[in-house]
Amino acid sequence: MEQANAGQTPSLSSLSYKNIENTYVFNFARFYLYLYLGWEIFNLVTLFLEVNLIQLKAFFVNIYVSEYWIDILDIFPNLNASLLEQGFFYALVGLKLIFLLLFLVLFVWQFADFDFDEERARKKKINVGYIFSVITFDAFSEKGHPFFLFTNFLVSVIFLSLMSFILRFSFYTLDVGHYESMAVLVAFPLISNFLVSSRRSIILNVIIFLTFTAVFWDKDYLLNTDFKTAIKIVYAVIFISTYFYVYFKRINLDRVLEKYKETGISLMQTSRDLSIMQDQTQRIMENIDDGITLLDENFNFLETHSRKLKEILETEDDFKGKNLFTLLKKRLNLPDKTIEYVKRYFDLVVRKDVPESMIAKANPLEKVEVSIEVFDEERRVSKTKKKWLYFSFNSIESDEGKPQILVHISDRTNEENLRLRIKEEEEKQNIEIKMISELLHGDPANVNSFFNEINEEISNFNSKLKGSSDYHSTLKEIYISIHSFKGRASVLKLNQIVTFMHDLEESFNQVIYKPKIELSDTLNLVYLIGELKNKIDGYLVIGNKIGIVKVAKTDLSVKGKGGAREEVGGADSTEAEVQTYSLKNLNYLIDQTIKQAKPDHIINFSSDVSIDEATFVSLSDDKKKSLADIIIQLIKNSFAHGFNGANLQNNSNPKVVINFKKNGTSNLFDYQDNGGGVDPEKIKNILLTKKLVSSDKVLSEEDIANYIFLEGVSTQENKDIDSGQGIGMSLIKSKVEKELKGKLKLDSSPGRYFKLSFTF
Amino acid sequence: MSAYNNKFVVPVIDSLKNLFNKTLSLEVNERLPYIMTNDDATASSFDIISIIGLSGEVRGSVILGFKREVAMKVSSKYWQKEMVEFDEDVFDTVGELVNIIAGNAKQGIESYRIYISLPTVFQGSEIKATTLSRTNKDIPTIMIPFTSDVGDMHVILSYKFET
Repeated sequence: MEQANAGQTPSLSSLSYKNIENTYVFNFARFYLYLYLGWEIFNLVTLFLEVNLIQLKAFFVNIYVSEYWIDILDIFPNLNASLLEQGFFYALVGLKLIFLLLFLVLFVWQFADFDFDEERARKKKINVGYIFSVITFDAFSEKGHPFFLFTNFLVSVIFLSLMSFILRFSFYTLDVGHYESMAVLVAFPLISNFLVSSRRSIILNVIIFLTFTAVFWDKDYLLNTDFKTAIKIVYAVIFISTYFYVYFKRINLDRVLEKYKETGISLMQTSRDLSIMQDQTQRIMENIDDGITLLDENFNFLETHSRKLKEILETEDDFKGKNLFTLLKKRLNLPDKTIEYVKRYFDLVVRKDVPESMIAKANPLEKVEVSIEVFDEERRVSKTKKKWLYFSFNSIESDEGKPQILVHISDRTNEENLRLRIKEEEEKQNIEIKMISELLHGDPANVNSFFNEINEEISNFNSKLKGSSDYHSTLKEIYISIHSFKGRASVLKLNQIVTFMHDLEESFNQVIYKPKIELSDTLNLVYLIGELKNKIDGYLVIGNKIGIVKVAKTDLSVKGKGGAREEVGGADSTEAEVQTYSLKNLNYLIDQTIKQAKPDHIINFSSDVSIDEATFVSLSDDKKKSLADIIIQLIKNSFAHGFNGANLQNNSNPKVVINFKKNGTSNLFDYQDNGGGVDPEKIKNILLTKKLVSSDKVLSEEDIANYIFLEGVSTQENKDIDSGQGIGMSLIKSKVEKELKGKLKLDSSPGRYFKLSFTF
Repeated sequence: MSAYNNKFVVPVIDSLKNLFNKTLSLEVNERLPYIMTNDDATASSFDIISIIGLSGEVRGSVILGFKREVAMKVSSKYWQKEMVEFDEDVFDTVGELVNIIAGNAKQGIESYRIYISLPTVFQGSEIKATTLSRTNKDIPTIMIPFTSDVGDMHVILSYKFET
């Protein structure tokens, strides 16, 4: 509110007497006063010259000096005089005429050009009135330069030449008592001086009075006694009245002020005080670090605004008269809806019955992110700058009683960006902490092998994509691989990876069953693989730091045999890698899988795992890996389907049996659960919905065996993160047939058991 | 779903196919794209690549990579005269091609303000454009291989939308 008032005109009563004295108009009046004084001095000098001239003349020519010699000599030079004398007189008259002419020109020019508005006059620079005023004011002010005293005198001479000429000539021809008139003439400026009364003018009056008295006291013969007396009386009166005036000056001042009020001249606007205040406001507006401006009742910008406002809004244009809403829309690109809110909000702002705190709360622009187009030199949009701006609006009332809105905008972009960055960092740290806890949670050896393998697998994806021309099969291969890794990640409780891979699977799912795969579809998948890679890399970096994951550069099979222990470096890591494919690890994996897949309500679950160590160890690492994947998948399947819902109710003792041993030259793997087995009806229904078989077809067990290995066939109605994608069985099939080169055998009895075995 | 979207890839591919199939009467077909990794030893390498930078609401670059013979044959098609030397004319042509592709792709998504730089052409042997993503880890580099009668060529895209 304070700042708002600074721009308004101060009321008259706030002006001090000193301020009146210093106003421009008073300077102007004073100028004429000094002008007159200058003339008086000039006249005294010429009079002195003339008197001496007469004496000279009398001395040389010995003529009678008439009573009216001053007048005769002034206007009509004595024709009997010598050439020298004549020349002298003509020169005097010529000088006066030149003064007169100069004065006329200046006089007319001055009034034609005089500007009462000091600010405007200053801008005009060659305003004569202004220049005179500055000269006279400065000459007598504390800061005045002595030079101006002299120029002041010269200027005064011009004016008074005219006055003298007119008065003397007219009174002379009319032949009336012009001396009295002269007295009035002398008194006139002194009266105006009295009006402008100040300590300085009193002193001036005293000096003038004393000077006149001293000069004329003993020269009675030169002047008429009446005139002398008149002058003395006038000065005495002026002196006394000035004294009383100063004494009662406050009363008079009030009257003067009243007069100004009545005439309604906005002279006060030009007061120095105001200009000082304006200067201060200006300085505040230029240096304040926020955007501040005023809006009129139509929400258009008023002239005053802080310099920072332009900086905040990134513009060089003038705001005056522009509408706030246009600016919000065009410059800050705020949506129409927000602008509509602001309009409604302003209705609230101008209301007086709503408390300010409430208004502040309802502000729709309290904190807003804007995008500002920043132009380059060629006026082309070079970029869009994002800024966080805080707005606040206050309603104030103008002098005319119209509502105005004080707008305050501060640019908090840096703070906001910092805040966002801190938040980002925090999120990143949270993710890292999660990563670390996930990494520490799992069995180190398994975690290590998982990351090494998935890392390699992602590179394999690339080779697969690069060489492929069959989109469907390539993407399917990748899909199956992702599913298998998801299973392992889930066993290791790497939840973030599981979630991501699950989403990735979903994306694949949407693409790979399309009859024709478009390039844009594959692009998305490829990007997601890229993201997966970034994620895995993140885990690798952190895992590496905490010593859990050692990125293997060497071939896995070599490492497994311990051939590259030293190369990989560090006792911990080699230990982990040796363990990677041990039986102990496999057992751990199986335990973990069961722990994770088993719902809490199954309590009396038992498992019988019998894996021949010698046979397992003799397998290559790749085969060990495949076998582990198959076992994980089978256990998951048992819990997802076999021990699920109604199947569990009929089963008091759920159990899985895993058997792996040497059978002659080949290896034999058996898996059996006593769950619900495969329900041929369910399978058939699914096949019907998917339109893979006709409804009249009778499904044999072999058919079922074939169909459940098909991708996308799942008896689970609801997909969740562990099952329902219809990929598990096809994964097993592909692992057995492609990686282990084995032969699958499926045996299932609905409601009794599910058995799967293969030899390789 | 993903911070990356293929809004810009599709126009680039369309623009390339349009340029080759129609203007140069050279049948090109895209293959499966793949992600370029920094340590990918099997990444395709080129004898000449031209790069054009993208700024504005899409930041990144479009790169066109050729083997020497392919570049010469494509240039010959472009000028409709036999190019015998692997000289500046060929370099200019390759630069011009990427300029046309990026320029037309820009028209393809007019709703975004995109500025493209002047093309820069690199010539050498075994050039791999894999280092792009090093500077900006979250921008993946995707390779899109194209096959044609005169040989294979690659578009390498690495960009992100400024949000």
